[in-house]
Amino acid sequence: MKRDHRHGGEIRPGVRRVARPVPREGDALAGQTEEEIAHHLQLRIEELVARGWSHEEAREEALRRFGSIQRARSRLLREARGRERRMRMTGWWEGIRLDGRLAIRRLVKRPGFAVIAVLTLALGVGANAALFSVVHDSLLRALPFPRSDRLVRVVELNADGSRNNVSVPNLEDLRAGNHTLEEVARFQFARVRARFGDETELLQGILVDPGLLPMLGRSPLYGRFPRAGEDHVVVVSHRLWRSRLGGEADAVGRTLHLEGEPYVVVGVMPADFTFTSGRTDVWALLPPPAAYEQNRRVHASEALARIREGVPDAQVREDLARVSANVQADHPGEDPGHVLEARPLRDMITGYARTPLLMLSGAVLLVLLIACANLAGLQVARTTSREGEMEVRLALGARRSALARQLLVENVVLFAVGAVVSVPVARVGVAWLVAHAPDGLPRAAEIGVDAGTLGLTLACSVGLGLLFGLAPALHAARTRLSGTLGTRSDAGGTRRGAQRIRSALLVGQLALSVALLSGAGLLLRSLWKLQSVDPGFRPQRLAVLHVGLPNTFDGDVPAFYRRVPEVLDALPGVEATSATSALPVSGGDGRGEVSVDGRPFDPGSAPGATYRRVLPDYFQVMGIPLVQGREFTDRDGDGDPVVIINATMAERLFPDGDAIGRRIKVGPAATEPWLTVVGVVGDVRNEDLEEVDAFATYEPHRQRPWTSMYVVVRTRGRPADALPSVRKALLGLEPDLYLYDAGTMESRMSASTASRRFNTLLMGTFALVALLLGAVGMYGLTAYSVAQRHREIGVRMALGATNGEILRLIMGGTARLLLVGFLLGLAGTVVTVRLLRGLLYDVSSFDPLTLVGIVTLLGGATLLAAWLPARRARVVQAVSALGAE
Amino acid sequence: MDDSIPVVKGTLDLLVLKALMAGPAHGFEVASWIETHSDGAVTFDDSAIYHALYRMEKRGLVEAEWGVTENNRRARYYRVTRQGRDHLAEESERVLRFARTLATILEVGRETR
Repeated sequence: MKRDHRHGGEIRPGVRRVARPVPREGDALAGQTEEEIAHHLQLRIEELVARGWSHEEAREEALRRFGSIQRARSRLLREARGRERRMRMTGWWEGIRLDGRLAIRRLVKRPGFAVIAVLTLALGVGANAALFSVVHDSLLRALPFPRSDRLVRVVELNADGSRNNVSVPNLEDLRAGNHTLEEVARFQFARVRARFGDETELLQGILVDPGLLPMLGRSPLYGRFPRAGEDHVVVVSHRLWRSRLGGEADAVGRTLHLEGEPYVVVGVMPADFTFTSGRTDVWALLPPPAAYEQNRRVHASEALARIREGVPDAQVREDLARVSANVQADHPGEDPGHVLEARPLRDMITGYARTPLLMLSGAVLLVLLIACANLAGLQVARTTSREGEMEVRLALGARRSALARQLLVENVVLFAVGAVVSVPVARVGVAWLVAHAPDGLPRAAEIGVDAGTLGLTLACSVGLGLLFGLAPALHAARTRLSGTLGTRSDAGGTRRGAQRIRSALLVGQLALSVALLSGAGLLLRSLWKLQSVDPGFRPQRLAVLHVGLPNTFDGDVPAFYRRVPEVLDALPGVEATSATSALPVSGGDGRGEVSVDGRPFDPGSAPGATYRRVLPDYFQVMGIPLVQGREFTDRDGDGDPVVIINATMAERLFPDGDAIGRRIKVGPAATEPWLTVVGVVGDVRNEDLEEVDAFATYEPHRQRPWTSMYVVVRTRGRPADALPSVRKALLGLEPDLYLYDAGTMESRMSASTASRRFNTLLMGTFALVALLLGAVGMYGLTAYSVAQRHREIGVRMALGATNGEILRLIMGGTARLLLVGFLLGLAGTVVTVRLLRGLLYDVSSFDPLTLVGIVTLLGGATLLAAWLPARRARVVQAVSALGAE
Repeated sequence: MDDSIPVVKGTLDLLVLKALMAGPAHGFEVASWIETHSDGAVTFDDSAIYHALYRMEKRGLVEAEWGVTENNRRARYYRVTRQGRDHLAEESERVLRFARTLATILEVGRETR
């Protein structure tokens, strides 16, 4: 259509309106239709008259042949209106399309800008899409169970509000007495040693009531669930099925050797099946509760329940509170203060990852905002430099709205391209996060970049493009005709306006960077402090290995463990050997209430302490200093029971320094024997590196022998090198030993901070990107400002200003921006710190060192970024600047 | 919306397009062309021509602008767009095929008699 016009040299339909002075479109169309009908009738009459009709007859005939004029008029007008509407739409769309093509051509012409912009966006948007996918799939999305919102974990709350497991009697009372739960099922975690050929793998198992798996509403991938009353059958996880059972349907019916006993695999679960936060390898049926579990004080079970359809949460709460009150009333004093509570299953599965994931999402969102602000700043600069072009087009009759639209379209094109490139970034990002998150992400099997996320990302990008394109567009719309066309020397208000927009954008960027940097800085400081913490022992050259006697072992357990150091110490490369029931910095310690002979505590105020069984020389091998008394010897365990306590415990319980010889109990006072303190050793970070002020007790292994221990070996060379010979020597002692979890103490300690390092690394990366973007923005702004003030600088130099004064002039502006940005950022830091509080270690929210670091880093980077172009101002020659006019 | 049955309405569009293939023309010229070439066999209200023209202009099959006739009078001249040419080619093919098929079927009865 358009082409025809161009070639024919005819007037485009749209222009007609301008050519003919008409008051309103509706009237104009009506007039035209009227004119056309009149013209037709006129010609018809003339034709008929020419054929010999009389004028009167011809007129009547013409009207008759035409048909109802009234009806034709309204119909034609309707069509004409439709046509005009369509034409306007076409024009608008064509304008957009033209703008789009123009934008692409412009971007291609300046590939540097386009590439930087697209990459910045792709990274920003891609990282956001990746984290959003992870957050969505692991935290927000409904669990993969039918009506999963009805599934709850049943827990008991201690008197102080902390969470506890449930006791079997309470659970039975709940099952019998509730009115809101469809089903209540008990489960317990169990680690099981499995043999695959001559390899041992420690499997994570869950023992369940027969009703638990069916209650969840998912079917096995293959096979079936265990039936009530069945013994020695298991359902295996997708992972175990793939890694150990061949990954074929025939795995059902095969036998696993767990704890030395055969178990038949009856089912294989789908990959995304889990109802706990950790990895699970096998599910088997719970044995009937042991006698000791029939005690309300023994909180050793977990429970899952399904709420009845249509019952509101509040009613469930009331119901459980009522059951708890009844239990307390019926069994006073048995287990005072405990209350049953139902918590959403999803929160229990994903809770541990919530804070770090939300923190990272926030950080990555800030990075995206910074990137956008940066791009908007660049766009404003480009717009300003295109003022000449804009003004010429305005003078030639282009509408301001059209100019603004063009700039908007340019931005949207840029963001759209960025969004497309961000798709692979997002995919790689998600894969990387899933693979590298040290603790594993909740529901990792379900995480992926889906169409919804990508759509949202795209929509977000285009939206941001519109939002951040608005500033340059508005700026263009305000371009005045006078400036550039008249004389270039006075840029007038628009440039100052543009500078203001850019300055504001830059201040925003700097402020966000400060917030990010402070977050990263505080995390880094926490990590740093944590890694320089003295763990209380020497982890260097220490190899560790879990040793477990099989259930079939019928020899003398203490005798076996007495031989372990004898055999291992003889190995070349081994300096000394001992063993402990639990390694330090590894969590999961056993705990018991402490009693002191002759000094009873008030009810409920007895302190707790961890307990370990160790072989002689444990403290010496580990490098734990002996503070008082003596270490264990081979003879301990024969006579009166003995114990060694840590320094904190000794100081708190026996402040007079008379711990040695006192008697204590660890655990239920009624059944535990008195232990005589024979030594005090230095504090060790037993639970994890963050642990402080904990009470720790150690008993000789012989006194209460355990069948499985961690062997610790102080080596002469690299500890990992000693492990094969240690393993071989141990199997020489007992060929059926379970040996697993071998490694070095240093790598275990490193693993204990892996999650923190990971978060810090990501946060630090985001902060550095922010810093870099801020510096780029500052560079651009200053360079531009120097170019703009070329003439002013020339004049100043001609009037005798020195280089230093010029530099100060330019840098003064920079410093002001920096200061404002920094102060605003500090305000933002208050928010950041609040979000991070749970992740900090031994660092105050306003850590002076962190703040100084940020000031130095951000100040240094931005001032350098400003100084580079500002330096150029000094070499402006007065003559050249003035002569340029 | 229209009194005429759809086939006729579509057919009139085709006739109008066909008339305009000869070159740009105003409404009366289109009407005259169709009268001449159909020997008056096809009858319709003159207003139907304009309705067809307006409708097709809205659809982008024809375009129009004001011009001046030999007698120095202002008239709206219509011309076929490329889209219109394509439409004409496709639709006339379809109508011809339909007509031929119809003819064949109607002939069947006569042969057997």
